[in-house]
Amino acid sequence: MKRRALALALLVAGSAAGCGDTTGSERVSFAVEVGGIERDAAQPLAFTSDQGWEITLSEARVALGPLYLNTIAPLESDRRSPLQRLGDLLLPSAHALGESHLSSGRIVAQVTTQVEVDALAPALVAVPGGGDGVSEPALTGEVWLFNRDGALGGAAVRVAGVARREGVEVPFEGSLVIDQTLVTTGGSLDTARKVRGIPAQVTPAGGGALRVRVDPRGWFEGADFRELTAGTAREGRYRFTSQDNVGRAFINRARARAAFGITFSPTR
Amino acid sequence: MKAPVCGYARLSSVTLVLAALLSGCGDPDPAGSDAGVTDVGGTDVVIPAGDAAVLPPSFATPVPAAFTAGTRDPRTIQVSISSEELGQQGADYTATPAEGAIVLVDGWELRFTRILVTIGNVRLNQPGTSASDQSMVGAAVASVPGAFAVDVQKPGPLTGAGGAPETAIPLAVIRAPAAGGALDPSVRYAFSYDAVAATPGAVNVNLDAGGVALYEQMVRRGWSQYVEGTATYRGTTTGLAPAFADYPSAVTFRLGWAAPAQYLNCNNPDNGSKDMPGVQPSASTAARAQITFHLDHLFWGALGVEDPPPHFDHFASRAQLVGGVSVVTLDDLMGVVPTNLVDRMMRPVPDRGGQTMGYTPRNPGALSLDLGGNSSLRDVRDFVTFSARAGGHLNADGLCFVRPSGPITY
Repeated sequence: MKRRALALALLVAGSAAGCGDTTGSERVSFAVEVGGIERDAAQPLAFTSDQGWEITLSEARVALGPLYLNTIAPLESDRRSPLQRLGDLLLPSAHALGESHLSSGRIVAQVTTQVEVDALAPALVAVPGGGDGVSEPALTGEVWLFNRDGALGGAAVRVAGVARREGVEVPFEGSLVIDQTLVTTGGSLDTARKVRGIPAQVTPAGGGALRVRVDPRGWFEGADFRELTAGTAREGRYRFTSQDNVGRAFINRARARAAFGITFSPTR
Repeated sequence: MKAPVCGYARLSSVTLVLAALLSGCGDPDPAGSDAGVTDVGGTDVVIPAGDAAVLPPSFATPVPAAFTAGTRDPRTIQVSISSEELGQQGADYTATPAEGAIVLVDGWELRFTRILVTIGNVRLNQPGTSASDQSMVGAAVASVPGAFAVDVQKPGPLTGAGGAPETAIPLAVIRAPAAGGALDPSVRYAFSYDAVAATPGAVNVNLDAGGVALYEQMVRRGWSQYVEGTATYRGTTTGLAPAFADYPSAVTFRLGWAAPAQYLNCNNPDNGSKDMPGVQPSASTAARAQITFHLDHLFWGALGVEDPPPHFDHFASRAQLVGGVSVVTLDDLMGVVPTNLVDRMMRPVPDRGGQTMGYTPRNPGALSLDLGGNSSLRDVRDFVTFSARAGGHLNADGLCFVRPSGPITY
């Protein structure tokens, strides 16, 4: 499945590159760097969820890649103006803007290497092989998630930490494994592994660097960790699964567009 | 001319300021309470405070139909609207649905009684120039003035784009470019429309007295849509989770919200493919542009996939008894986390969809909704209205590029 998907993507990108011969677009290669959010690495990553849980993460790893840059426009919710975002804070309104039909678009650049990202480490790490494509403007990025051995233990995303609220402390761990249990009726495994529509108004250029940062702070939006304490902790941690609300929140939120940031620097 | 604030007339002055800023409509009315509202046609209308009528007396009478089923004027585009078979006939429950049939997998039968919408800024542009960005359209060609208040649950005199028994309601006819001349039969004009907040400036297309009363409330609340109906549990599976014994078996749903949006450069199945945008006039007859609302989006259990199985249990589990009738509104869904659905007794809502062929619950003990990569949906109310916003199409299944023109409010 993975090889087929990669081959298809390469074919699309190859077509795009071919178009470059007649439209003037230049074939380019660029560096790719990945990391967690920018922050003081000397401090633990701690934040408060929408449910009031104070969460400190001790592990947050993502098997990221391949990645594609696409000409399709992002969903509107991801390109609201600063003024609109200010209004969201004050109006009794939903942030639920945009819509669910995201068409296919056209891929203009690709990063075919899979890399493990430590989302707690702000320092950017170079991805071997970089990326390539044509120098056409992209509007969105598309990240594919595949399970990975090693530190990820066969998962695509792995996380551990402690959640605290009102005197309750819940050490937890868990993972996102891309498999058939994620497939919604009407969807597919490929649909389940893709995070599409990540805002990325970038134009690939030779000598530049594509930078991808993973932000784990939204991974537990909506999660109520109290449910985990009904189970049994192993080695001091409660393990969430897709059968509890923490796991359901995680497998949705770890695949949210907002968990990824994509920029392009014309210089390395 | 009063400063337009685009329909937020009943909100606080702070909200009015923000609403005006967000919608890009200029400075707000400093008076606040009696805010000016500009309809699509540009006519100023003042909404009075309190319980005074907001609709002009003339609104009580529907306007004559813009065209009939027999009208076939060449080089024109007939604009109509439909909620298709689902909105008009409802959805029966069956454990063995036919392929393509809309069936709520958790055993509910649906019937709609009101589907009120306001459509404005119907327009044609020259075709877009970007194959990968559907929102890009060319120069403006023609537009239909004003806004239309419609109950799309009601049948119309036209056969729907999806075929009988669906029907459609006539709205307007685009006869010529604004610049003069005639529509060009060799051009597939980009077709777009807006869903706008209910406004006293709209024309009443087909609202009866009850619909007019509801529309008045929509104006007061700033809603763009109001959907009402009943759901009746028809599932026959026994041995269900105990929680279901506490859920009603008949629920009235009354859902009102504002989701102003532009539906841009819609794809048109009449072009021979669902992925080809534009409406092309004919030299020999009229062309069809049927604005189509898909009501199943309200009940979808997942985003980011096409036609996911619809459910109703997450609504039913939140219903309240009102005058002896179980009623659910969007307020009842507020605060309920899509990935942690709980009923009124704060118990997980089980997934009983397994009684329908083709659907297997991932976790029978807990129904949950798939967010499809969206990170900003706070609760089920957001989820439902977000999903519903994507339900505006053209000629049955033609997808439009949806660009929100304001926040979703309730």
